[in-house]
Amino acid sequence: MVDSNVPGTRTPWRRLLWLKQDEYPDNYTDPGFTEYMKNLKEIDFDYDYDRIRTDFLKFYSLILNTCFVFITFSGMYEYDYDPKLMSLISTLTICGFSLLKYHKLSNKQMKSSVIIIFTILTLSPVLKSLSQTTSTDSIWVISFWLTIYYLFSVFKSITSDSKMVTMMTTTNKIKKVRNITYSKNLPTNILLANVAMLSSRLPTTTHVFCFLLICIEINIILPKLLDISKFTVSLVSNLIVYTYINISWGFSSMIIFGIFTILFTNVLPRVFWYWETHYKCKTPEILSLWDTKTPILT
Amino acid sequence: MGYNIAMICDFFYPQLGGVEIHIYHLAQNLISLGHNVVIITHAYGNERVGVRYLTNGLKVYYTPLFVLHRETTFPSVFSMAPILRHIMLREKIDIVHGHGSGSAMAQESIVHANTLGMKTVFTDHSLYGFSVLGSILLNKLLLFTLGNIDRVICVSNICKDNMIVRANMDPSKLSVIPNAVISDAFKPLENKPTFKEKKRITIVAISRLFPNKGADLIIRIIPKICQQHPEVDFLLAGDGPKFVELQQTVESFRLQDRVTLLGAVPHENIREVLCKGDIYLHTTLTEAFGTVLVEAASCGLLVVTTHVGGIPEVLPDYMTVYAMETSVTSLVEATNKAIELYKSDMVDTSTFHDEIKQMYDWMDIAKRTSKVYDQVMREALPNDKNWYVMLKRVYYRDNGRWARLLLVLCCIVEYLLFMVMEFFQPEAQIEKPPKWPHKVEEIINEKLN
Repeated sequence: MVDSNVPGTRTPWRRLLWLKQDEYPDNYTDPGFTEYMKNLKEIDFDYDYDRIRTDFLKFYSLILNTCFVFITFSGMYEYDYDPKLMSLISTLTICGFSLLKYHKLSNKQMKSSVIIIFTILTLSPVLKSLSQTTSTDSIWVISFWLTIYYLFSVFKSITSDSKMVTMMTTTNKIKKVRNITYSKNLPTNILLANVAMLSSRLPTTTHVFCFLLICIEINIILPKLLDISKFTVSLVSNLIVYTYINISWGFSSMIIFGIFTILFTNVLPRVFWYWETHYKCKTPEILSLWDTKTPILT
Repeated sequence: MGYNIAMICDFFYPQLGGVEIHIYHLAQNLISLGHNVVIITHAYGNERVGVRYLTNGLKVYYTPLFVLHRETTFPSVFSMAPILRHIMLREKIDIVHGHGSGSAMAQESIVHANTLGMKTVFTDHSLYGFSVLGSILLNKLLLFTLGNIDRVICVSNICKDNMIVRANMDPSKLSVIPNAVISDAFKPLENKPTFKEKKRITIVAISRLFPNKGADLIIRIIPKICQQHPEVDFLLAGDGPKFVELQQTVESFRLQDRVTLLGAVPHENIREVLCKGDIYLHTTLTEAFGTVLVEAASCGLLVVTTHVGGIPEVLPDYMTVYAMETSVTSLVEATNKAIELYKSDMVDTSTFHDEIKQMYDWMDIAKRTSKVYDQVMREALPNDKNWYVMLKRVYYRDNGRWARLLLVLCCIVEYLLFMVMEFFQPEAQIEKPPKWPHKVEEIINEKLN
């Protein structure tokens, strides 16, 4: 076999196909490429485990928060709780937290709250009859998928900023990360669509009004007033959700849910961290070397 | 005496594309060099099934296999084994030559040929990245199928670089042998009028209108060039998902008189299209080789192209004007430069054809490929195709804890399968057909040598 990589007195090899370079065998390797591969800097990925864990906890808190939609709904639909009492409790809670956070409520805030409440009042009969003719099974299915969509969209909208920072610090050798801003309106709209779908199964317009009000208060306003992944808030949410699961589905379901929670908050972040740290290509430069180039349309 | 070679690929005539034409011309020229070549592909439609003979006794097996998507057969590790084994043994194949990473048949046949103890060669025609799921899976598959390959041929140096990394290959096993063109089929027009005579310039672009071929760029370049140069016309051949957008652009800028859209043009008419133009515009975003650039230059066109993939290796600098970025601005600048060069008669394109004829010739390609076959035969070690040795090689090739076990399992099943097949249909019982007789002068030459 001809040793193809020994430089000699022959004319230097050129990376051209049209040029007949008979001095060099066809299996000659471009020394430039070999050099390039040797000099590639390896990046050691060192992800902050705490940060990943916090993100997982945040997502878990979101799931709990979203559970309240269904707890409220089934409270009215299944157990015939008084909607007025439920909404009064939640409204008072929200007012209390608002006062705690802002000390005095401004005129503007009061005005917009009143407008929103009247809008909900006006919309309630419409929402009740909107998907009346759709079968109940379809409503559950649509609601399920809307909830999944809601979870991811709301998670994206709250973590997009912090995620960008993580990427910048760990892979600062790679080109700058594109700044993607996720709309915060999207999750709100999905939540309202979900609530609107479920509303059609409630018995009266009052129920619909109260349901809508509670959902807006707990899922939209409350996360703005409090950090829902905080220990105390999380503890209260956990207590309510677990009690509900225990009452409606039974003890064994609660245990299963608990096991999943432990896996999700303790095992999965560790697996994810291991994956990100050990299974990533250490030389990301070469990954995009042969990719289709992006067209610049200007 | 030549070797018995089986070229295996999903893509072959009646479909016409770069790979198909490559296989055909390579096979024809290898036959002229005294080798026996058979081509194995899958059946095309209900009509093209069974064994066919093309020019010079090029035998083609159209095997009845299940076609999954875009003329690619269903990728399974073992399903093609019986028929491929039968054909390979029947034709007494020495070397199995697979073409194209995207071809399931090519990849599978290499595994089976290794099991049968035949020599294996593989030619790759395209570039694959690492960011798309499809490419990731394909690269993993290549790790397996190319584990025991004897040689790999790449169509350009960048293709070789790509292959070294994605299939984790020893660089000395990879040869670079480019594509070629039949230069007689791409002759420029005789007495082609110059710019001074006709006062107009035609820019030709031939490309499937897909996003990765830079269709978005060409759609934006045309109005700009037309606005800047009233003497320029466009002639575009090719169809694809971006065709309607292109049509709309032409209409909204009222360029119907100056831009002609031909739609899909069969390969045999490409020369006619090229000869109508003076400048060839190529806006692709990825390219392993770019045969059409060579064809355009061979027809005497000045080439304007993006600087991606293997393109910088294909043509000498004086035949091309490069756009260094894949941007509209950069391509418009390059086109402007080419228009200036053409107008001022600073480039003599009339010599291009003869020069290309010297650079790219199928016979030369076939000789270089034949050399690769010789090396494969010469450098083969006695236990290269030993099942145990091959199994070990496959195990150490992949670092994945599960993947390597899975691959080893595949190998073991493969070997068992071949033992079963040998039991039911022993090699000795498979009928061996006579080979197509070579031309008399070749036989005489051979005797004289």
